[in-house]
Amino acid sequence: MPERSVHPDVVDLAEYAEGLLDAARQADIDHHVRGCPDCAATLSDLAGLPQTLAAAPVPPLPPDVAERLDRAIAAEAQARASSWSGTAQVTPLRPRRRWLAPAVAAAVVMGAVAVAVPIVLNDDPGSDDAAGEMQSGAEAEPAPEENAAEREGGSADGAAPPAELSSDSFGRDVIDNFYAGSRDLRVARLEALTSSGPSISPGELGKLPDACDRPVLPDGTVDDISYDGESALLLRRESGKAVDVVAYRCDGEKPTVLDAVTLRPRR
Amino acid sequence: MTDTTPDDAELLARHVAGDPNAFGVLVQRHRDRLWAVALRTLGDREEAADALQDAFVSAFRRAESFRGDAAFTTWMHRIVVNACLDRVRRRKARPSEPLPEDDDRMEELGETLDEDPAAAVEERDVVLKALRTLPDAQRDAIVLVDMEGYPVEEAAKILGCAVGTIKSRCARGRAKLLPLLRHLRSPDPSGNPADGQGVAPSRVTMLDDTKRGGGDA
Repeated sequence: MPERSVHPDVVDLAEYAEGLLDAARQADIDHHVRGCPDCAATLSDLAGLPQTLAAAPVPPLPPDVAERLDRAIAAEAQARASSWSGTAQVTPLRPRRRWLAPAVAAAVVMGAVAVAVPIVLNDDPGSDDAAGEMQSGAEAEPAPEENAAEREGGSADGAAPPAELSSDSFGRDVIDNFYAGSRDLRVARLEALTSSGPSISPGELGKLPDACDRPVLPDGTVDDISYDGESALLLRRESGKAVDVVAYRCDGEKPTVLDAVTLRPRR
Repeated sequence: MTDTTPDDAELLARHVAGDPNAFGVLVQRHRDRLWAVALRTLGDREEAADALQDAFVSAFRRAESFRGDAAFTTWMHRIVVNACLDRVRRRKARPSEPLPEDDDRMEELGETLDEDPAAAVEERDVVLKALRTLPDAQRDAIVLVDMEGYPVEEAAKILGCAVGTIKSRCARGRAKLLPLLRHLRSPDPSGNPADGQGVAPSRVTMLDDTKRGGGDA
């Protein structure tokens, strides 16, 4: 071969193709490649390599790894559900929005309590408003639970609760067989919530706002509750006979879910 | 539980809103592709499974930080790649556990399924094996840029280094892979690879990029 320069090695050619070499070396190889079919062929093969790699068949996900991922995510959902329901302290506040119907106002109070486990009613200081609101707004059955709240003060022991607190397959708290007379405060409150909440067609429920700067809250939203001492919103979502209750905060760009529970009426 | 098929963003929003099933749907939708990334990057079945699990759990917890300015798949890719890099770093901190080299482990990687055409299985294994000959840094760059099709700039962001560094790692990685994978190249329709047109259009574009990005290498 008549070239004065020796053949560049493959690394040189690959770096040349990426334009990584200094100008003199780049020109040198450029000159060489024009007169050297072998190096031109190597350069061509290098250029084709990304296509070969991109077209390489995808290794299939082994079934046991797939199962493992499902289990991990289920465990994560379980942990999330229990942290939502296990740490919060929710205090009902007076509803603030003028458009709230009395029934909705009831749902505010009920719902606020509904997401608390353990339930601690912080209605000692200056909460007469909230209590009054509850009495006037909720015609369902607020009084027995309120009394129960005073008696039990957050503990759900005593008589064994007939309702069943469990988790669904993804760890979401689910309460089955709840009824109003239960000594389990959470169950009783949730019962009240489901029986006296606003009447909104189920199809319109269930979507949190995707941004927090909207002037109008989505249907099914009630405010204002206090959640762990912070102002929060409550969303009721009906799906079939079950009801999801979600407490969320909307003080950043996007809503932050604080707590959620799914209720299933007594069979 | 859903009437129509929600897109990724909708599923993620539902997950953030407390839907206990939404994230599982996302996982099932994308896990195959992300498995390929993890396996190719780490070259080890168990480590890839660990990394993928770490990544999905991390995404589950960080879902609220997803801003929607990138596709969910891009966001998820980044999390998977970072989970893999974490494992690579840990591996480096334990030099007594080098990459397993024996062919028995390689057989495992392929995980042959009955319906795979034999040729595809062979090509897959050849590619995986070739990738394992690369140093970690070169393999990370090649997987992202050449296999997953990330722009060099995006890969640089994911891997936390300069654009020029990514290009250099890709170039060196390709030089090492070429003798191992040259035979897989689909036949050149012109039948004459030495006609001076070997540089594909994408390479030409990258040459132009270099003039802008080469300075920060």
